[in-house]
Amino acid sequence: MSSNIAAFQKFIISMKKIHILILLIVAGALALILSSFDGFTSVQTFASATEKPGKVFKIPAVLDTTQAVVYDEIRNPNEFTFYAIDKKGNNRKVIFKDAKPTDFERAEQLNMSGYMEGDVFICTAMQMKCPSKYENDQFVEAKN
Amino acid sequence: MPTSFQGEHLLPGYLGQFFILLSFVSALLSLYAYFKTIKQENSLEKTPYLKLAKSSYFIHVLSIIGIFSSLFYIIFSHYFEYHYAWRHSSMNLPMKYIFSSFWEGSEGSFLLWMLWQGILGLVVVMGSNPLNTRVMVVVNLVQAMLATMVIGFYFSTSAHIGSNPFKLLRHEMAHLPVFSMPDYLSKVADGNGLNPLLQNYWMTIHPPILFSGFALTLFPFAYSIAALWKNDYKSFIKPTLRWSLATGAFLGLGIMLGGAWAYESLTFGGYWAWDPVENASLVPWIIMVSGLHTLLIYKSTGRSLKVTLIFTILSYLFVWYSTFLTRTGVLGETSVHAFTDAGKSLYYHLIIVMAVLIGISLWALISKWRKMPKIAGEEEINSREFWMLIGAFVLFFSAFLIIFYTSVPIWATAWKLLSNNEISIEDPVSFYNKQQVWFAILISILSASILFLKYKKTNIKKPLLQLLVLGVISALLTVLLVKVQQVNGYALVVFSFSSIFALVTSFYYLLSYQKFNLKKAGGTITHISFGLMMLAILFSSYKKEIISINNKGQVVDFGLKTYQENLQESRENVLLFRNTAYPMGDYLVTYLGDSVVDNKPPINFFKIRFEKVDPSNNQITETFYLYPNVFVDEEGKGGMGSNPDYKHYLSKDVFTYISSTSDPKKKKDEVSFRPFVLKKTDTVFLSNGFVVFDGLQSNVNEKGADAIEAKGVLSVYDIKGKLGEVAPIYRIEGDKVFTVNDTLNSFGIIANISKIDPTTESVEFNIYQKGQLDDFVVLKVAVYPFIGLLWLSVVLMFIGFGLSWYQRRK
Repeated sequence: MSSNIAAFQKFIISMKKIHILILLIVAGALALILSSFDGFTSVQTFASATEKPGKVFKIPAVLDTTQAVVYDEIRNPNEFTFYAIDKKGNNRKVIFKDAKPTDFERAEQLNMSGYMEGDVFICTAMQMKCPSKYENDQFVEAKN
Repeated sequence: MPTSFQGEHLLPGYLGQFFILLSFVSALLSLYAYFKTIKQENSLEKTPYLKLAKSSYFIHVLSIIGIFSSLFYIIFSHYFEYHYAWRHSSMNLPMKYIFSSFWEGSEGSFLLWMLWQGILGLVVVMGSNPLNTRVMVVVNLVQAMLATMVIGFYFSTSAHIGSNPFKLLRHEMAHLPVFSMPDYLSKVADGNGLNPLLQNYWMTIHPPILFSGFALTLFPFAYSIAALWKNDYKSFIKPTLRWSLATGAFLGLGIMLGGAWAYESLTFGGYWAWDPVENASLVPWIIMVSGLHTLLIYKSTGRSLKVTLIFTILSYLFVWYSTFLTRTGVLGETSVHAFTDAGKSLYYHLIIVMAVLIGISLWALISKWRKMPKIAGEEEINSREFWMLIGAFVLFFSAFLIIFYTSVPIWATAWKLLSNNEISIEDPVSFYNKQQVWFAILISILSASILFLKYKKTNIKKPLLQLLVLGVISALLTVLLVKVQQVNGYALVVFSFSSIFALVTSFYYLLSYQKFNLKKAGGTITHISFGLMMLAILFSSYKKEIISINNKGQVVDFGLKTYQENLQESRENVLLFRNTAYPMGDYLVTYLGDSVVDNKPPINFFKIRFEKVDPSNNQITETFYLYPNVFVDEEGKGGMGSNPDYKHYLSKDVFTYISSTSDPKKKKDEVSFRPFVLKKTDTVFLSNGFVVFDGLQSNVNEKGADAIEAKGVLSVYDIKGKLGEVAPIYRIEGDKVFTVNDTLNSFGIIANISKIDPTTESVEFNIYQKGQLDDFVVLKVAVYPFIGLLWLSVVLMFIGFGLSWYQRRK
């Protein structure tokens, strides 16, 4: 037992000061990593977000093209409403509290951050996955 | 029998393909010949192998220039029979963007990278360092691997080695019947055009500079490998130092030019979003700066050799890793950058390249680990090397955390298998900011203080006293700053202090220790620029202010808990009808009209007037105009691209962009009148004013008994009072009815009469307010303080690195 302590003491003494400091930085970096897991969200569906109303989730979805997309700037330039279908195929009304994103119609996937309020998903941030028409190979035949 | 196609220009394509093959073969030949030279590298005799090695390297560089010229010629001549030209350019693309379309595609940017590495390699070929032979083996190996990226051996459409930029459109689109017609080219009228986001002058200059930075990282790597290979840890010091200084300058500049592009053409209005593409180029830069500092330690004290070699090698490996992250689509939705999924072929190709490079690095490090020279004993705690090593590690861990989180999409897939839970970073900007601010604080304080220490042993008393005084001065300045700028949160207060301290202290060092001697000042200037940059980041990102807050009270309440959030979140856009002024911050903002510029796609410019109002006397003290624009969607696919516009001041930028507009088609074609049935003295409220029906004026019998004419007089008022009248005419001639519109342009109103009902004495008017209800923009306006300071710090940093590089030429 005491020999173990002695060996440990010897180990500590043999460490250079710089090693101790670098270890401290490593410990700090590890602490940052561990504390960072609050900043992660898990990918969810409307159903799982409904269980915890008010909590922010990230939900990947696609636009429901059968329902109306409403952006009436004159009434409220900061409200944009549409319907989206999540990965499980469930459909919810979404209110995005900002202007209608410029390339919304082109998006093939919507990554929405937000929370549920009753049956409505309040979207606070949205990222769109767009197949840029300039990147995609779409051949349009010239008209003569 | 093969069809012969009309109008194709196949020669430049054949030439390009030939040059690609030549560049590959000549790199391999040069590699082989340099390898053969190694045995005689210490003898002064020139071996025939050396001659072969050099000449095949020259051929290699010439053939890259040949590839470049062929592809450029194809794009420049609008030869749309080539897929690359068709996909990335169009007939009416302005000349200045031809280069941008060159590097829009993956192949073009690989070529750019290869060109830079090839040209920079010439410096090594011409030089006389004893390690150069081995360095060139590494360079040639990398060049040959890069050439395979564009070589294009196709086994099937999905399985291929490299992607060839000289592919023909008819091969790529063979599934369409039109491409088997001999005259298919006459049906290809125009190319797909350049992504409008890239139609920006920064996109002409940013990629070449960034890739020059990536190319420069090769050389510290190659010299480190060569040093290990040869067991020569002296000769590599000077070239590695100079190459890494050049990397610091150009890679740093390239990254920040990307920031300038993002700032000027993306609507989030920031120069830095912690986007994976940005992170992936920042990480090699940070690690190179760590390596640069440990190399300085090694040069002066003989310590920290191993860590230096690890840093310089890692920096280059991370360049390839970032290529892997950003080009293969593994990042999925986390990046806004538009490098599309290039398919599995590139994915495995890059994994193989990385495996080769990692294998070489590990072999070199492990086999020589115990043979490397080292100094016994430990660093003095009051020496420069002690703290500089600490600083280098802080930098490295900062980079490590950035790349760790950037790689989340990769390890989240593994995590999903374990926990059935897919994770991602909720809000990357604040997530990274919160972490990296601590690294920035440590580095700021270290970068300034260490200047006062000397290698090996410092007489600590005097510098310690000076640092203490400078610290107190900085603390006082911080108190002032925190008060004036209302900096909130202890992390930001500490960050303010460290930034000011870095700036003040390194400036004092330049002043008192170096006496403005520019010969020595390179490093100090870089350190000053770092402090300045941190201060600029503090001001510009933490103190930005959105002034287009909608105060019409149109906030919908979604429950008390998050009401404040909603309030914040939901009111940043403001609707402006044409010719209506709206107060935003210090400004009165008016939308004056729009115009369309021919382009592909057409660009619609909006003229927005900003008038600065002095609140004490309501006088307008300053007027300027901004022209944010959107790309008009020609093909009815929906969507538009929005480009912001800025007014730059020394202390701030006023930034605006269009979130939405009225439907441009509606504005042009249809005028939709709204009906109003009015009796005398009835009032109609329109935006910005109202209209009062003053009654009918009849003019009977002017042109005969069977004609009746009546004028409905509408008085138009705005807030200031009566503007004028509109008096549309209603006329009955026999059984025919005529109506004559009347307009009042200052109010944008058009009115006519559709019916007069004599029994109820009411008149049905159709009223249309032009330039009001149908012509509007939705704007976001923000003020970014001290953004100019950031660009100044970037320029200063470039100068600092450049000066150091120049001073170390001997």
